[in-house]
Amino acid sequence: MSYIHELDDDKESATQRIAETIKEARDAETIEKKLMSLSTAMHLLTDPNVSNNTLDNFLTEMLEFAELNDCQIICLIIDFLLKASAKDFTICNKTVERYSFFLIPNNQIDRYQSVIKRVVVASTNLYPIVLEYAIQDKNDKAEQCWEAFNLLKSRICMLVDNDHEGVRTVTVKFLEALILCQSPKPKELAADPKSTWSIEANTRFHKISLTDVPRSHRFLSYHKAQLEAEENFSALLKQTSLTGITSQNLIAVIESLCLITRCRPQWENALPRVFDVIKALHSNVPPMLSKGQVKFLRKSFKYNLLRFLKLPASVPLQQKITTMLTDYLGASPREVNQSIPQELIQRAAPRPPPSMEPAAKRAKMHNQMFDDEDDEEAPSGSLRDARSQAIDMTAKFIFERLTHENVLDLVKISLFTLPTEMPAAFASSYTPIANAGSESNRRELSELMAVQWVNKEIGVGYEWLQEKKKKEYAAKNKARSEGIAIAPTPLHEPIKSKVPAPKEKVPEIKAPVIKKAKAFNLIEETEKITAEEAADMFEMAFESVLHAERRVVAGGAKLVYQKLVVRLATRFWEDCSPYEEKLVNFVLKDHKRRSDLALLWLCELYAQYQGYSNCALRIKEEIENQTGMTQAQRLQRYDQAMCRILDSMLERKMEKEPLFYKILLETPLLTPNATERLKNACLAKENEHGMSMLRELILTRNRQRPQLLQFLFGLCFLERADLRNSCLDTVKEICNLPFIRSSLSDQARLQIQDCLEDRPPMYMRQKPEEIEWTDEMYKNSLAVYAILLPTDPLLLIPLASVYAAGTNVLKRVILRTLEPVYRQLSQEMVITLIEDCPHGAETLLARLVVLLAERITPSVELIQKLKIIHEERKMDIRALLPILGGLEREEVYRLIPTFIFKTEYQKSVHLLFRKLYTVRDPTSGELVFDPVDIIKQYHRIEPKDDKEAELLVKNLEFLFESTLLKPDSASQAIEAIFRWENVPFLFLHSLYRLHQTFKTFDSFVANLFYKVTEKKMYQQSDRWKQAFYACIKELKTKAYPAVLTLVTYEEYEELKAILGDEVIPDFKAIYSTLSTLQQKTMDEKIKEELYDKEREARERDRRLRREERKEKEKERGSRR
Amino acid sequence: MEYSSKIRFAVSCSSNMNRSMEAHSILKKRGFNIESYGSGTQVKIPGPSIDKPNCYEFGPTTYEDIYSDLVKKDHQYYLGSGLLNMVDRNRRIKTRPQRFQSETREFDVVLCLEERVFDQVVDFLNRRVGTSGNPVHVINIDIEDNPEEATVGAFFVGNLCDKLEKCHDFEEEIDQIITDLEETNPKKNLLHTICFY
Repeated sequence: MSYIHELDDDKESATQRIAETIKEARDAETIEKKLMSLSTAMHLLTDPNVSNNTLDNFLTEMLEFAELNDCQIICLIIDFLLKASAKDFTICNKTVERYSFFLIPNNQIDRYQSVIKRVVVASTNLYPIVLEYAIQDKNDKAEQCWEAFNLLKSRICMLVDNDHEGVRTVTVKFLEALILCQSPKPKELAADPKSTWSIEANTRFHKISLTDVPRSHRFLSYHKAQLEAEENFSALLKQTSLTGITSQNLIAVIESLCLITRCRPQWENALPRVFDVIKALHSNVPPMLSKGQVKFLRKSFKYNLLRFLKLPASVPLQQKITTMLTDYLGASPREVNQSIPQELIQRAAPRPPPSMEPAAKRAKMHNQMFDDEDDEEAPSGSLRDARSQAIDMTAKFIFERLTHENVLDLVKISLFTLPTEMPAAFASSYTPIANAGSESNRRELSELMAVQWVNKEIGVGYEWLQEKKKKEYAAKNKARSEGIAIAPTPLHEPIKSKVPAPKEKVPEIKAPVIKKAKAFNLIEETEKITAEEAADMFEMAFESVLHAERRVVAGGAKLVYQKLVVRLATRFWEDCSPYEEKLVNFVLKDHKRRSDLALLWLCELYAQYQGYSNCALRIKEEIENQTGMTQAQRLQRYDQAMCRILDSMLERKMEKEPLFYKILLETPLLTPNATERLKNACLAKENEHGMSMLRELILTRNRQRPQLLQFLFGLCFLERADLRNSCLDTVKEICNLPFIRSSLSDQARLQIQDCLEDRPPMYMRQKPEEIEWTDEMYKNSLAVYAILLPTDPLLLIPLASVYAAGTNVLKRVILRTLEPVYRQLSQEMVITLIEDCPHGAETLLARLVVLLAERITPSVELIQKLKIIHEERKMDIRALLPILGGLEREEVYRLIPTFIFKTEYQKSVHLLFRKLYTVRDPTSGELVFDPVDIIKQYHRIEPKDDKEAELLVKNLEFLFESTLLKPDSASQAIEAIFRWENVPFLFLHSLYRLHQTFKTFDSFVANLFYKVTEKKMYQQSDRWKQAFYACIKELKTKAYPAVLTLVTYEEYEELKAILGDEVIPDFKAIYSTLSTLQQKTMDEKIKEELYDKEREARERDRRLRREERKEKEKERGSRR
Repeated sequence: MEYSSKIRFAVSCSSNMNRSMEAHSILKKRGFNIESYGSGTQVKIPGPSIDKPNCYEFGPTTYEDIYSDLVKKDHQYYLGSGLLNMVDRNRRIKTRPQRFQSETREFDVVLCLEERVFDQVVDFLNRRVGTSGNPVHVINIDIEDNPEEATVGAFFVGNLCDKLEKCHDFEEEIDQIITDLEETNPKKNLLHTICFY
């Protein structure tokens, strides 16, 4: 097929092709076209080259077509599901579910019978698949599938007496599959697959059988499966005795029985039983059959009996079968001999004809192969079909009475009742009887008549049968209650009351009637039972109610059942704990199905605790009279029940099962103890499940949300980073839900409030003995807060309050830990804090403002409010630093001295200038403060004392910060200051500071220094003088020329004393570079001191030598 | 098509030459969903004498091959016996004779035109390892193997098919239809059984 080749090319094109085909089917206008496309889609999807994923992806789309309500399409879907299940076992669940649905008769769809037939045929094929799936038992789905299939199976078994002939026929084939799959396959078949027997037994069900089911299988019961097969085999055998059976059904049953016999000849004594059935049918062919049908039936018997001869198990019956074939079914001896395989012939040949048993025994002795058959003959009596036994009994009864007189009478009567036309069955098998009147003939005649007697429900055999059936009926009911699917007994089977009782039994029936004379007295008859007996009986009753679940569910009374169980377990006795224990165990055995029961139980206990459950009078009275348990005790009982079931689940490691979750989530009240059980799940290594349960609980349990949140937060304090992270993840997840938000925030507020306690609360301690606060505890308690804070403005003020009241450690932790969070806060949030800042939290506020100003330019409102609070609270002025740009210039200038002179602010001076030099107007983008002005302002500051003067000088370093200040501005400012009327002493300090900062200012600085020296400004005050000396010391050679030429000798001496003698060589060097004019203006004494005589002599000598050399050269030149 | 609302008929004689092809021809003209087969071991048609039949293998041999073979052997004789006309008709219906036992397709009703054929078909269906488990009705109608009887028989088969096709659900009524036919046509040796694929 071309599409198969296409599939090999690539998977994508396959998927595309399938999608196209399904689309075609959807778009097609007629059912025929839809069928065509769907058929192609089915072949494509179930192709081995197509992945199971693809199949799964298109499954739903395919199934949707069933909604078209066309029987042909549904048939196609049924086939598709079968093929899909064979390809991928996991689809079986879906298939069984759909099949169960399709099996429901639907009159609205034309020819719906064909759908039912198709379901039965497909289920027959599905049988080995589902069985294999169940045997593999890879997951829970396999068990569910098997259970669902069992239900389907029992429904199909019911169809064996359906009105529709075709349905009955296919149901017979289904039973055949059931029997073959659920009976053990003989070892010999597996051992030699090429033997004659194996060839005869080769069916489509040979691959899997009960032998493949391990005895220890989790949910497949070997015994139950076998029992089910046995019951159905018997039911199938009984089908053949139905008087009204149609030819078609009869053939189907016979063929199925023969097929089963070929595959399982020794199982359930199948071969002799089926042979008996054939024999009985042959002698009593159903009267409805036509000539052709009888002919074919005989043909079928012959054909199947010949095939039986090939089975090793047929050896003991060989003689009987051969006789039947040759004497009654028209087979030639040659035909018969050809059918018996060589190895079986030799054993059959020497057998003496009269008696079967010795021959059989001899055969066993000869052939080891039949060793297993030791019991074969013995149980045949008990195992053989009861009906056959009944016939035998009646036959014996008749045989004993078949005297000449009786026979003669019978013939006379018959002559009047003979039909005008010979019945087909009789005509086809009618042969003149050679041995009439002989014992064998009489025996045969007795058998023939016995069959008719039993059919007409008369004779000793039938009576015996009736008794037996009563017993069987009871046994079968028991088996059914255990969940075994058994095809219904043929219609004529149920015991009827019209049976004429044999005469000799009449007195027996009358006997009890006489006893009726004594009136029945209830009081006399009843005896009081002891409390113990009553308890025992109650216990038994309780157990039997519990275990009736399956039948109850099938009957649709599940809720009533659950109510009954719960009432018995909770209301009946004072102390119900033994029953509760039983109930818990019962629920946990199949917790998936019984979760409702568990919940109902807990709800009842809750209702009792609250006093709602007043149905039981005893409890009602107790509550009214306050005699029984108090409400607290009833709550405790509820709590214990809940914990009992949770604990049992934890013990069995079932905490991931839905029931655990349901109990926590769906019970009316979650007790603190139950929350502790949840903790176990949350503390587990893989705690996703626990955490998700907790999250769900927080989301759904309104009333208990605070406790649950407290519990969640508490988990953050345990020494496990992963747990903390998963808690915080949960918080992050739920904090976005509006209805959780407020509780979450409240809880978070309460938690940080706890940080103000003297001792850490218990939930924060990792060990109970930890009574001192640690950084870790503080940090952990802020973790949740950190998540909530950025989005909840209302959380800031509580934090500030805690900060204000907290210890220094807490303050530090709050400042540091939450810093990343503070960076996310909006301006509005900071403003709200400014407005309502608790006393003591100003430092926190200041920090927030700083962090805010780093990111954005503070708004006018913020600046205003901060200024106000600053003034009101006398806050640290550093808080104003971030908002300097928003303050009045005068204000800022007033602030400068404070920063400069206060020791505690010294560290912030550089920040002040950095801010002053860089802050820009948000609208124009220009600098708010002119650097020149700032420098000037600085120089206007008047120090009050020496210390202040010193600080003023020291902080010049930050005033002239090279990275922030442009040289132009600096020079401009200095020049302006120099022109002032009163130049401050600081000027000289600034000069050398400038020189240090800007190296290019050499001449500018030297020049100004010269002017200062020239004007003798340094003589104004001591500070000036100090500044002068400091400046000289720093400027060195840049200052020396001015000093040497302009100072007096006294001043020079003073300077020398300060600077030390080591400056003299420098002075001398400078002196020599001075111009003559300058040297002349110098103080003579200084000049003298600096004048270097030796050097002058040296220079003079050098000059003289040079002149001499020149003269000599001149002379030489003239000579030439 | 597998999901057609029509009944899928198959008709089988021994050699897929005369009886089954005649029925095939007529039923096809009447619009039935029909295929024809032979169930014997080889295609056997009359030769120059009764002990010298012409035998061909099922499978590779086409009606065309048979036709040319017969023309080659004795054109006039086979033209006179009507055999050439028969093969000529056959080759216009389908390419080659088909053996029922080699067919993998499934049918709803298989009509066998001789009891031996019926036995072979039933034996084949019962012995094969099952596949789908779908039921198939096998019916026997005895038709003598000559051109005239084949034509009469084909009409009989056509009537039966017509009755089945007209049923609302033929499985319900097939038993009655066959019993009725059996009464009116006692010599046709009507047999009916159900087998499973």
